[in-house]
Amino acid sequence: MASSAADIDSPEFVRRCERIAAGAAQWRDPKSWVRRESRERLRDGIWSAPVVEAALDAALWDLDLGRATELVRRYDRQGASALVILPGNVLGPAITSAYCAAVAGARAILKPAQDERHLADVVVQQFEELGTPLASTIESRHWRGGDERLEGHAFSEATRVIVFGGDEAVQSVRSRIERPDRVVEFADAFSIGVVGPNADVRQAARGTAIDVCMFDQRGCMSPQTIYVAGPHERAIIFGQALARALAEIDRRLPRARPAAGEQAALADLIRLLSASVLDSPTHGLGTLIVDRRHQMIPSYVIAVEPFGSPRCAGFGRVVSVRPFAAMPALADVVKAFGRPLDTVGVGGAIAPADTQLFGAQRVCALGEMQRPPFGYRPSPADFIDRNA
Amino acid sequence: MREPLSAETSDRRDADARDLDTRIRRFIARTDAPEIGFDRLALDLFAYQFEHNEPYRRYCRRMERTPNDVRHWREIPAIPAAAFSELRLACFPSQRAALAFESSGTTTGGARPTRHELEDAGLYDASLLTHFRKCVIPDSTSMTICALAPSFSQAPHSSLSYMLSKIDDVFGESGGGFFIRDDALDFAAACATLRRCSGPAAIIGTAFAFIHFIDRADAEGVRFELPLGSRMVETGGFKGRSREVPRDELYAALSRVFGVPRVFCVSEYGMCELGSQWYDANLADYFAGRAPRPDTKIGPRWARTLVVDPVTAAPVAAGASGLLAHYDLSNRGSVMAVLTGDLGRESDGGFELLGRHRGAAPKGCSIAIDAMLDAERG
Repeated sequence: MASSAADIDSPEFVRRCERIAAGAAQWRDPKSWVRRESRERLRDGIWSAPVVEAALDAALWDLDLGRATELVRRYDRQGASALVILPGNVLGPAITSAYCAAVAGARAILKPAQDERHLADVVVQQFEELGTPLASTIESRHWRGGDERLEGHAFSEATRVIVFGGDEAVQSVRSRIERPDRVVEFADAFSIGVVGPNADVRQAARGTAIDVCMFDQRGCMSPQTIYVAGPHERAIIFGQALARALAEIDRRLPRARPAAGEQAALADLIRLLSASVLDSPTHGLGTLIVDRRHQMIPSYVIAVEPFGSPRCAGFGRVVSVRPFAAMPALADVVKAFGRPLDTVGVGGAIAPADTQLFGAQRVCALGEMQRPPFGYRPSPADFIDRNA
Repeated sequence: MREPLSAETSDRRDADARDLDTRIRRFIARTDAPEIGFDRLALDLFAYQFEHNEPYRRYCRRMERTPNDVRHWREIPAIPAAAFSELRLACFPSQRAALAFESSGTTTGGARPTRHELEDAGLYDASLLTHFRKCVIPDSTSMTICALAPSFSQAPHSSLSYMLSKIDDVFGESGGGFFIRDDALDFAAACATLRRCSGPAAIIGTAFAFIHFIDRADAEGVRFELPLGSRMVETGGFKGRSREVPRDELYAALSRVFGVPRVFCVSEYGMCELGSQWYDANLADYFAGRAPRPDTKIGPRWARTLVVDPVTAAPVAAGASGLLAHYDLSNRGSVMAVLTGDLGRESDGGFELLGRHRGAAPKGCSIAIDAMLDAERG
């Protein structure tokens, strides 16, 4: 049972904060047992070992004792029990969800995706090791999709249902829950990068490459399209710099194992991009850069296209680069795209008033897009029973 | 930015377009389909489209195929159908468009609608009417047309509504009509019309409209025994608009509700990006005294289909599955060679449609629940 607001600064409160901070520190320490265990379990998964390490480094990067104390003080409440339906396209939400529940003093059932079922088990095991008050507060529960009995049971146990998924899928879950107001959803969203007029193009390209390579463009915080201020030529130069940065970082963060059908999907997309890219100004400056070092599937694809709506490939390290002339016009096309904008990664100095035009959930520097602060997604607030 | 066309260039383009239209219409009017004639026309059309369709020209150059390199229609680069949602693929200025069809983008998987502009409706009409006649009403010159679709006046950018309105104008007898109005099925009016039919009728509709009709008919216990020779034409899939029903189940339900035998039920395959349509061969076979081929889609003689490898876009071995690439002479004003996202395989003089290609990797945060839904869908 969680402590109440009246218990703040009590020994139990202090212990909770210390256990949370200690657990988070273990996730940041590559030599800790949770990291060893995760490494071992994810060894045969789709992600390369360096990407696993980078994802685990980033999961709770800022959750130290001070932050834990601040958050526990802010969110600690009684009685919430949550079901978290986790995504399989990125690594980390199992860990952050468990710690959000811990901060909020909630109980949580973690329902892992078929593609990534290990981190939930590891974090449950870790909470047991950390002892009271975290032990026995979270549970990892696997069931086959479509098992209405198990699913219904989990729905009935939870006062909050936190769902990661595509729009259609989230809607489907919502329709099967008696009180849809209990649902917190993280549905389809996309992210972009913006390279300002005074940005160092090579530095911005290096930051973009990190954000791209982290989850191969599969995440909601992956930069699908990079808008580059200035004439076409600057966007083309950025594209070239990005190609060099991706080639370099590919050695540090190798590409994930291709999904079934990914090769065909990439081939299809490359054909489409062949029709849409800008003309090359010179023979040496290509506008469709397809890395063919590996025989089977390109490591990355960069398409420098005319100014227009974001392109969201969502897989295969595919990046669209588009020039733009003025921030208001750019904000208009992004808003007109009609999908929620999650993160804007910024290269160079761009005035906050300009970035606010996009209406994004988050603005950060390029290179930091895949490293959101703790509590960004989900938040401890999502685990609080508002009716309690 | 390209310079505006000079008057001389524009005149030459118009003359070339007229010449091609005349030759293609002549080809449509033929009763045979000589390969050499198709090849000659296709190569000339490719040269014309390469010259006057700038985005397509850029695409061909990237594919390293120009009229100088291409020796046979099979070598003409097929542009992805999705490109119609991103680029204006037309050989003429936009103010010259006689018709502009749009689709929701479900065929391309994209968010933007697909748009296909036609410079002259005449070629499109000749194509759709000739092949409809051959595949759907080979035994008649007219019949009552009941469309479970909106009329063209209700859906002025729908290629399907245009097609059905044209079919009704040319082949329809009085007493038929369009029974999707303001996005809703007018069940009562459709039933009243069907009950009045004294001769064969063609009931044409989208799969989702038929499902709605069948559900309603089942709920109200409504059944028809349509006059002998009546037929059903189902146009296209479900596109996420209603519960999906296996094809055999749909046709069984059509026979049950309308009293039309299976051999008189055909499915049409077409898309906004193409001027031609393909139909199940069974009805044409039946009237020609051949064994019906209900799973084979046959195209018009002015179109060819290749089944290609999804990765290389090269033709696959006979009988293997792959993406469908259509070469359609009736697409004179846009691009004749279109690579679709539809999977199929060669089959008995046509192709068998196997569904949509699910090539794309999972994206967004959708894997967890998609897996749940997939299991649900069985």
